[in-house]
Amino acid sequence: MRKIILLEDRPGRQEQYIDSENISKLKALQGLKILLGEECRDMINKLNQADDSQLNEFTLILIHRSALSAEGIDTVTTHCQQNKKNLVFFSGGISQSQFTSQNFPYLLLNSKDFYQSNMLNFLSKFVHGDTEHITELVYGDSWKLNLMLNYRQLLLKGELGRLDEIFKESLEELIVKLPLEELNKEIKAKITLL
Amino acid sequence: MNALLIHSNNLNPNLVNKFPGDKVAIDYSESIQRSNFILDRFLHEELSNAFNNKEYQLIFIPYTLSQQNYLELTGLRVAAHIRTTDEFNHQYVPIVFVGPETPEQIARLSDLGYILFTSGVFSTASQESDFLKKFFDRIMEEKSKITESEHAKGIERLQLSPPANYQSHHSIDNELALLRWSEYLKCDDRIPEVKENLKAGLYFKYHRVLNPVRPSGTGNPYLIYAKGKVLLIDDEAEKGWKDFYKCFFKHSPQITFNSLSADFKSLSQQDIIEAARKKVEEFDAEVVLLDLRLCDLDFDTDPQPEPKNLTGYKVLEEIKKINKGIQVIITTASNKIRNYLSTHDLGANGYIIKRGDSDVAEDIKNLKNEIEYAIKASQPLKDFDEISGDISQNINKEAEWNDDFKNKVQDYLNISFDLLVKSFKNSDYRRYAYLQLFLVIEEFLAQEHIFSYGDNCFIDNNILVTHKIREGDNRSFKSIIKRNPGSKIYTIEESEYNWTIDVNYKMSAVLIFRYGFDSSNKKDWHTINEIRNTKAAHKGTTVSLREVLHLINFIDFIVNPQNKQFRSQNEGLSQPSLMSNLRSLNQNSIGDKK
Repeated sequence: MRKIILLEDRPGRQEQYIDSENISKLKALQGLKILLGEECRDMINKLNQADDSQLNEFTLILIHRSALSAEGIDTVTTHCQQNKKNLVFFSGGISQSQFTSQNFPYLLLNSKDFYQSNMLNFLSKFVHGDTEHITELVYGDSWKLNLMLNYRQLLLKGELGRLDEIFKESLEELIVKLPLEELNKEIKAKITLL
Repeated sequence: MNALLIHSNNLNPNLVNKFPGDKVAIDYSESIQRSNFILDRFLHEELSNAFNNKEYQLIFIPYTLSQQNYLELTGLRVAAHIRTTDEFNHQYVPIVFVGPETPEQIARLSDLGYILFTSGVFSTASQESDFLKKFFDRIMEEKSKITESEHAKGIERLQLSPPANYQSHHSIDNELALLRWSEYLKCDDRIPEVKENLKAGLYFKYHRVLNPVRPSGTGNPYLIYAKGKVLLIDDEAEKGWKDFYKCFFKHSPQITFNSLSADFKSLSQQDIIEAARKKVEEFDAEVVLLDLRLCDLDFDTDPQPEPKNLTGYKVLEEIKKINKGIQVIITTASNKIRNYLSTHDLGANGYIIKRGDSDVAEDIKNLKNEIEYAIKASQPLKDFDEISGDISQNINKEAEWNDDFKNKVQDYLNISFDLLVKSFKNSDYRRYAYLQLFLVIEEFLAQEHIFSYGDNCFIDNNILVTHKIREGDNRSFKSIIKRNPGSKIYTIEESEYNWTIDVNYKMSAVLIFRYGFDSSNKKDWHTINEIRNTKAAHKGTTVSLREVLHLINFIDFIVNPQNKQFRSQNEGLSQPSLMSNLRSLNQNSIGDKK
């Protein structure tokens, strides 16, 4: 079972975005450790002082970014980079979702988008190893469409540098390798179904 | 070709290399994992550099600027920035999106897709530089610029939502007010985060285009002619309001300013209320500047909380329990009348609306007037409430007072307080406050055990102070106290008393026999009574605050059981014998028959 940690220093926000039934389900999810209130603040303080030892057992780390100092953010990103872990930073101040897999899988989300209904589904699948890509958290079933669009962008680019080649190969592990014409049809079909 | 191609190294290199115009790479892939990365600020800065001293006729943008997350569709965001930023000077320039998707497909993928259907926005799937050159020529012929009206309609179509941490438009007004008021007082350098946010944030640019604000202008902090302590309770205090008020009070050295320091976002409503209550008590504030929305639950939209459930409302309740005289000025971005009415009913003393589009000079002046007025009102009202509390405590713990007396006194005190509050706006109310307060003395003297009135008048049902000698027109009493000639002051001396047993007589007797004074000219009783009869009871005269406080202090004295110093029964009149009573009765009846 893969382990996830969620650090939320604003418990009121959870209640705003998720109903009590889903909060209960979240708390009952095995493999998910949720730290709120005082426990959360203690952990945040440790991270701000460059102590990342408590993150060791977790594969996916979900943290309210504004709770951390700049040093804390660096501590967490360094930990994830060194250990190739998945990191999700959420914050009310983030105006749009962003993702990069440069160095390690890194997702920036707006709090409202973070707590959307897909969150519970994604986390349940993740602990059991049933997810394939972290962007499933934000795009749900459209995550594959996103990868296809990325792949098409690379095909249209033509000449690829080393990093682009590596990225292309990683995409080909997740989606069927199609020629451009077939890819266009697949993408069109998926968008139409949205 | 006078055009700009914006990309992020995600387009065909042939296009980029052969593009017959300027090119700029806006590539945030390296920056995105930095602790201080904020997309809008990054885009704003890059675009600002790209457009600096330039006047392009056409702008080409791919749908996305992400190399690894296509669905970010950040190209749309870039276009929105261009359309909403006057500073870039390219808001009317046509834009061409480059990408294999159709506008309809993009619109299904992003809310920002609406921009594709506004005037002056085109799209092409081609990444051939020759084709783009021809496209440029065609657009220059057909639509080289969009009009102001087309631009305005286009902005309206965008329908952007505020970021989640601006949980209502009140939050945006709050921040705009902070910026504009700080700009006015020239202390906006203390709020760099807020400034940057409002300058670079896409939503704020969009909001400003839809709701243009007039320049705030500049001015100086006022000198507030009052001495006192002002406490700020606002969840955005650390964001900039604390610094604003420090600047606001800069020229008023007699004001001591402080703010509640708390991690509002992580505390429960109850914790916030308790922290606020504690701070108000410890700081001993005269005035509290209180925000209504202090915790996350206050920003719920479905349903919106009732005013009485807002954290600020509950804090107001607690403050008024500490002392009703503490002046509370509600500072809020909400202009909802129901919030105003609810807090007014609870005793809020002022209301300042933080608006993003108001006349700042007027706002600052109003703020100064509200605070100055509140400080001046606070100290006497706090004193009044404190003494009032002592009075209530004393009469409630003593068995000598019945419930009717306790209830009446409490009512008189409450009404008098309310009248005193009003007197700061209309001094006539101070006379009414005085008269209302004086009713406590009259009620006190009406208690049988204090002064029992009849043919024989007693203090404490025990000490005889008057004994009626004659009835009728020549009514007179034998009195143990005598009025000094030319004054209304009484001392102990047997005498014949031919006037009405009025309030002055009664209280004089009480002062001498219940409190052990040697004359009635103690505790300024005669001045107090004189003010009641010559000033409070007459229109056209004024009663001072000092005089009202003097009166309530007097009341505090007479109800305090520790001040009782009864004289002995022997010091009063001798109890009349049965025979002398009969003789007296007989004389009265003979007199009647005649």
